[in-house]
Amino acid sequence: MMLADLLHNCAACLSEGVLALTIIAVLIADMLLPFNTSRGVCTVLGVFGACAALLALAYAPPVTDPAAPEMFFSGVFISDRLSLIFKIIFYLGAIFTLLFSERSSELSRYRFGEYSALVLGAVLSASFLASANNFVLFLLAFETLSLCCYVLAAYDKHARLPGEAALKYLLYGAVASSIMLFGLSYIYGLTQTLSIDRSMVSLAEQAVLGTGTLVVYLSMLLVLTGIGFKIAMFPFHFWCPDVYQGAPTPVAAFLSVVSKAAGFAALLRLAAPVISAPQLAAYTSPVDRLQAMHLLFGLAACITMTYGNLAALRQTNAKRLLAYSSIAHAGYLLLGLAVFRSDAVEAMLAYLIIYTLMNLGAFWVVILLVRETGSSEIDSFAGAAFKSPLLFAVLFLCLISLTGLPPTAGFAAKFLLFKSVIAAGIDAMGGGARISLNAAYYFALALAGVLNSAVSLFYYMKFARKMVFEKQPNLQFACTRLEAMYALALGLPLLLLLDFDPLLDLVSGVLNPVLPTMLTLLK
Amino acid sequence: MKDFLQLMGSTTATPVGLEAYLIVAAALFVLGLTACIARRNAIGILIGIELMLNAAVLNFMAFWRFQGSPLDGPAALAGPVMGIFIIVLAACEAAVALAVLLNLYFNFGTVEVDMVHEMKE
Repeated sequence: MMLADLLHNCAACLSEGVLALTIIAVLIADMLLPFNTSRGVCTVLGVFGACAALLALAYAPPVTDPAAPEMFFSGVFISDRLSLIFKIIFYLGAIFTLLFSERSSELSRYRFGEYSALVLGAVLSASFLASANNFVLFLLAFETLSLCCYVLAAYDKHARLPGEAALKYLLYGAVASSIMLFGLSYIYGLTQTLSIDRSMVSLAEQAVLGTGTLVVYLSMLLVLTGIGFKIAMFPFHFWCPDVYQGAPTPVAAFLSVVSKAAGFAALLRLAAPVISAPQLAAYTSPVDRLQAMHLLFGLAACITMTYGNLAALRQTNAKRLLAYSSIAHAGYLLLGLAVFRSDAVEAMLAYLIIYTLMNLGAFWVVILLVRETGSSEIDSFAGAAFKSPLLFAVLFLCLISLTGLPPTAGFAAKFLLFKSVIAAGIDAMGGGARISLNAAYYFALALAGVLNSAVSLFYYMKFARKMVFEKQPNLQFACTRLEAMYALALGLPLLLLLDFDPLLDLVSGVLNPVLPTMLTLLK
Repeated sequence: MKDFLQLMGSTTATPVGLEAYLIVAAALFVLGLTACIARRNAIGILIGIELMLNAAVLNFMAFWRFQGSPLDGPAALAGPVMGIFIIVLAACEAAVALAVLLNLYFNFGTVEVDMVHEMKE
């Protein structure tokens, strides 16, 4: 009985177990093999492990009722659609980061085993974070992820810029997470439990009922500091450009995808119980409850995306440009939390999947450009479009997808997100013809998102224009067939997912039928 | 054991209340944050971070000691568990931070954060 129970619980975190074993295997392989062979072997082992973890997700007990997600290990570990989708994002991020790193010139001097172990360790903790339903696991996963990322940023240890990047990342990050921890201690005091779902619902009840309001909001703000740092939200974004520029480019790609998605996983883990709590709806109308939350996230979203886009306009370094672009995308994603409804969360998840693909694609071409030209300044990429039209096509596709223009998945993702904001505005009107203040707020948010997308077109196209219309002699830019395959693997889905019905299905419908099929095939 | 607990003030009529612990923790937190903002030496900033972490530990322990953790079960050791894990994390963080700083010292010859700024807008 006990054993069966334990096995049932362990099955829920099978993919994490696979990752943990992979980390050990990679470290042992690196120890036994000489420098040159260990590089390839560690990459293959790491990628294989991440793929196996992706498949192992199919063995997780299927989610039957999204309203009552399954709990494991006495309610510490939670398995639901939210965690499943985030884990898919993390594992994809790990696979591509490892493949990119092996091809990058910036990491070629160092042994690869520890690097792979750190990447996989970060992904392992991110995946625990996505499943955490207890503040102890939440904290451990959050901090382990941060520690792995600090070391990764400093991995090129003989160069000066990575050292500076790691210093800034580490000091700001450690301060932000201590502030978050202090906020968590107040939340524990206010709600008397470490279980996230009970704690957050109780906290929201206190906010709605107005008991102990100041401390309630203070503790929420303190926690938001730590998470806001991870996702590069406006007042806590300043580390982002420096770290992306200084860190090795594959690490920057990893941070912009996995670390940011992990921040959103943490945020949604805390927000999801409140969004789906039936008892909270009873207090006031659905639109009016937790008005401070709507206002806070709406403002943060607007400022973050506007700041990111405006600052990106005058960047001359490709890595800095992508850093500001990733700040802007955190802003778009926060729009979903400003709405604070389950349909907006679905839109956020869809956006995150697409963002992962298009951002990794853009970073991949930049990694190759940095390898071939030895610089990350956009000026040094002039004329690269004609040297390798295929890579340029993929970069161009990723850039217009990041902008959110129609023939790409980026458009579908932005459309879904803005649609959920406008839908909230229409609901706020309550069927009447008069536009209430609440409705106007949502319409303004959607408008801000659309205007910001228009602004972002300028800098993305400036980047692409430089590569096409300017020439420079002696430019070397070529890639192997394998490297072109990576680019296509990231670029093609952006075209295939352009219709948003499949995109929605991917998030809400397809996962449910596909996973059991995979499960039966595997068995 | 009972005498020991009484000596430690474990009865309901404790001479020192929850507020006292919270005030000390808040003061510790503010001191740590001030150190992080005011200090220019990276080691000084790390010490500030440790102070803030300890403030959080003190809060967790005080809340657990005075309120318990009834929703997690009558015997839940929420406060001590959280406290121990925070201490573990603080140690890990210090190890990683010192490694990064040591490497920074090799490259820049200083750990003053103002002297390390090669990346410009």
